[in-house]
Amino acid sequence: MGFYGYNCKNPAKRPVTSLTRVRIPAKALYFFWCSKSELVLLVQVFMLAMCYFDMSNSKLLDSYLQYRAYVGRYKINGKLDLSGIGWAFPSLLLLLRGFIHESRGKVEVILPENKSVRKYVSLMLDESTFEKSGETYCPFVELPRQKVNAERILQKLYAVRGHGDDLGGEAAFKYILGELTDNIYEHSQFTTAFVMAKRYPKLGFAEICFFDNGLTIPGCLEKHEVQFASDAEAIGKALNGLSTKGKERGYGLSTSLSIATKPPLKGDALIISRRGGIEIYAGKQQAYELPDPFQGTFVAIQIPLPSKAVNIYDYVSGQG
Amino acid sequence: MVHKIFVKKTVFTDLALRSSADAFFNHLEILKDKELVLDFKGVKSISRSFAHQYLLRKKTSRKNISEVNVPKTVKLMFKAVENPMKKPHLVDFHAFKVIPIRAAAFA
Repeated sequence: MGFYGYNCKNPAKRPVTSLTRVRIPAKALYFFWCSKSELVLLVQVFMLAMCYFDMSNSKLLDSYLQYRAYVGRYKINGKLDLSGIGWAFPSLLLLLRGFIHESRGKVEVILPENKSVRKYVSLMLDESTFEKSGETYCPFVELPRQKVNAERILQKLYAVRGHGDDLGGEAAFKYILGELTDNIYEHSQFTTAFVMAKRYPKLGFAEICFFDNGLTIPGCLEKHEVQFASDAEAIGKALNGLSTKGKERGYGLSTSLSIATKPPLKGDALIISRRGGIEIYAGKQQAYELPDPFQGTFVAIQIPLPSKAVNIYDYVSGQG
Repeated sequence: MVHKIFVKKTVFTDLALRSSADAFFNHLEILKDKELVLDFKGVKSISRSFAHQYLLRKKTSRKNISEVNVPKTVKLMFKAVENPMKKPHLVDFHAFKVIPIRAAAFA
């Protein structure tokens, strides 16, 4: 069992809380300096190799940990101090946007000192109008509470992202967006929900993120008297197809994340809901217990870019 | 008399939300014609949720509904819903181990 926290003196830095997170060169120097015998040296080399190959956090989990750090400092200082941000992925910005919105906008935000990042973050955190041009990003799209207007919003999202041609193909991209949006409407009873998608062609991936402030997955299952040992287990059950609306349902979340994380796309995913979290990263899964409840549900997916078209029917029909 | 309805115009080119299928059928049920032909020409994609709700509503509808110009994408999804698979198991509970994320030490 391990523990993951965050260096909140400088939240912009990556987490440094366990041995596996220390930079390799410094650790190597320390180990070789201290070795006193060949056997000890061998053990230390072995340990170093284990650390090197150990699974580090995904960018998605890092975004969540960064978010926790910023919000934690806000609770102490009364200001959302983003001055130290050198880079911010949608997964972090969506979480911060949700936090600001839930605080009824009464949050003093200190924008990043870096000018180019400052402009981008300012745009993302403001109530911007929706961009239709061929940009690599779009601002947050707020889902309307009225379902009747939701399809129109989805159509806009599809168009901006080039219909997902290089994100697993049009069918896969629209399937993931459609099913995960549908889940928000069907289960969450939200008052606020956002969707965001951004492409990083130079970095070789795209992020698609969803946030809602609703019941949470564990909260919804509890309401229907489903038993589980932890909130992470509740999320796991939902990922495995458990639905509160009958056995014929429950395919949307499981098939969407299967398409995104299994071959050939082999993307990553993170689901945070109430006090549970599940990360699918490099083909492996990890469950987390959060120290305090996340008020709502956050789903983030990272897909390699470009990705060839995926046959979604392999997954929907059970062959994927 | 047969009434033809273009799904693309009445809903959208991409059929995503379960509630959209419900709204679509609510619209169909109030039409005067008993015989309805749903033309799927131009529909580009369909989610499983929409397809499932569509087929549920069609089964209980008072109208006689037939489909024409159904794209392969839609046919395959209808087929997948009518022959439901075992749900994919993304999470292996046998290897399930929950790691606590400790509360950050704010300074």
